[in-house]
Amino acid sequence: MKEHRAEEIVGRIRQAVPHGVRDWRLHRGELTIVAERRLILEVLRALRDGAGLGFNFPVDVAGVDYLKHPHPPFAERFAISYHLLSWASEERVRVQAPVPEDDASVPSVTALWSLANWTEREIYDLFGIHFEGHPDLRRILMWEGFQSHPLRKDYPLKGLGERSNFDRVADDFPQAAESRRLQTSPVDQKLDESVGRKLDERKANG
Amino acid sequence: MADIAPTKAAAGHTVDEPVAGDTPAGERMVLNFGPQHPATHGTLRLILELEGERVVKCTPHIGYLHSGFEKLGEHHTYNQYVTVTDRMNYMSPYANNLAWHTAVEKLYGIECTDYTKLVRLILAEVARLQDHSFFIGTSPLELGGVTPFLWSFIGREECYDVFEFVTGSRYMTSYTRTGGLLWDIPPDFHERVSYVADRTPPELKDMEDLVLHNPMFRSRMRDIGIISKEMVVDYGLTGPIARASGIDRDLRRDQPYLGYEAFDFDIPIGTVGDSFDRYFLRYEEMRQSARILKQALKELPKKTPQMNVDPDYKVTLPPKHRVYSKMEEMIHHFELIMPNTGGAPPVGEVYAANETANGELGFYIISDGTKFPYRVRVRPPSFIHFSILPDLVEGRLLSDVISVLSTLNIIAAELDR
Repeated sequence: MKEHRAEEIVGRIRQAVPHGVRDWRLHRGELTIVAERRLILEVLRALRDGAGLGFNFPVDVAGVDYLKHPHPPFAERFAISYHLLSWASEERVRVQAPVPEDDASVPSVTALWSLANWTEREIYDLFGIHFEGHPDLRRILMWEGFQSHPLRKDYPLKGLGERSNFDRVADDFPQAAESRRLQTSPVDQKLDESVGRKLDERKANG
Repeated sequence: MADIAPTKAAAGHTVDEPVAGDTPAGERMVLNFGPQHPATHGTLRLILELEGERVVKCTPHIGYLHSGFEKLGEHHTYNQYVTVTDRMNYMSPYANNLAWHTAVEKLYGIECTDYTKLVRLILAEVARLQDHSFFIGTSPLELGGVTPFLWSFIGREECYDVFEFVTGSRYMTSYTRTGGLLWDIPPDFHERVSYVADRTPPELKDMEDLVLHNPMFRSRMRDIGIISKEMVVDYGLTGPIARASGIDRDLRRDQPYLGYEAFDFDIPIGTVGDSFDRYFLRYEEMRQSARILKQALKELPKKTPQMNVDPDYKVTLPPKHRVYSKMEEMIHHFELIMPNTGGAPPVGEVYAANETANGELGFYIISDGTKFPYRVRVRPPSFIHFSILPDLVEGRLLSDVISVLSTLNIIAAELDR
């Protein structure tokens, strides 16, 4: 994309949504528009429906954590990147909504495109960013009850021990626990007993 | 004859409708479909709420194969990560390699030589044949037909033979490198690929004769899971699924890369957008791929066989035999391989996409100026296509779930990443 076309696009959005655009940049011919997160729905709607814009096709919604980036484009820690494509002009545009850490929430764009349903769920799951107005905001890749958000930069690659501390289901299936006790080594038996004791305590405490 | 009870159709039911009274009204049966069901192409799970045979609610549960590929990307260099991309859509690993390095090269701001582009294009079309030939075999398999599956795997094996011969690996090819390829193509590349291109159309004819007029197949595919044009835009569907609904889009033609604009090929589009269209559209795409292959093979001898665009080896890896025998190349190899040395891309972010067999496969890379990507985001077509499934199957029969699921061509490794 050429610079004058980028200026035209940004100008049209600024006209439609007066305080929506904070900044924009052009890198490798790709336009990135930095939009205010509270007005993200209006900015994206203007890009989709506005005259001379027509970015009708949703390509992707991605989360970014700029915590350890040496040259972050803005002060906020997180960002949501919306990629759009225009079928008419074959142009692509990326809209970034900066999200601060202390109030990590963005309005959901599921009203504009259903594509945002699962992609926003994934960002909620992996980054812990809340989407206001999302119809079904649940974890999607990690399991229910998982505590962390793995794609955050402060989450280590090896994990936080979730793998070794996985919950046992012995109290739901006493026969399974019994058969395991018969098959396992004395060390594991001791472990099972301690787990069993804990479960008994938990039961005793209600 | 008079005392034979009238058939359901004669009694006013269409075949599509379940018999009323199977379950008491309001009582629903919950069925766990997967994660180890033979028709689920790997580990994906649907929780189906049924009233009789009719699906009232469908809740997909995914993540059983989640391996943190995006997180892994932050801990691999740009050339190392290509081995991880192999494991995404494992039906056409080479297409993922190519999509990854398309984005990486955009980030570096380099462009390959014409020769490298052409080799990449040929292999991309072989990968498309490989992916589609898997699809056209497994879809009837999931409906209960074993013969198409066995037949289509003959063609698929030939594609694997090409990759084995070129890359040394049948499955996990890892053939692309930043600005080039792992090594040059072997001497009888031309014969092997033209064998695949020549065999594809007659093989497809045989398959079509077997499947097209099968009444069982037709009744389970026709008018099942219709996707409208509005839904395509709403859900961001791409590739054969979008084209089956009559959307005339193909990145190879609309945003040409690798020099696709020089080739003559048609883009098939469907009319109804049902499972049947999605299935047979891929046949035509395979024929077009064979057509592109024949043209490309004619072009190949005309190009100067120069793989490396970068004679100083500042970005691309020098060939191994020179690393072991020449001083300069040894130094460049060291610089490129060791951390905290040269060869890092500038700070910035790019998105680049390829038209793979399954749809638009894109990579969004954020670079912080080191040798490791700061953030890697995959735009996986399977993940985006799968979210439409509840819309397509709710209110339909249980057996339609299989038909719709099979023609969406969900690859679990790409879905969960």
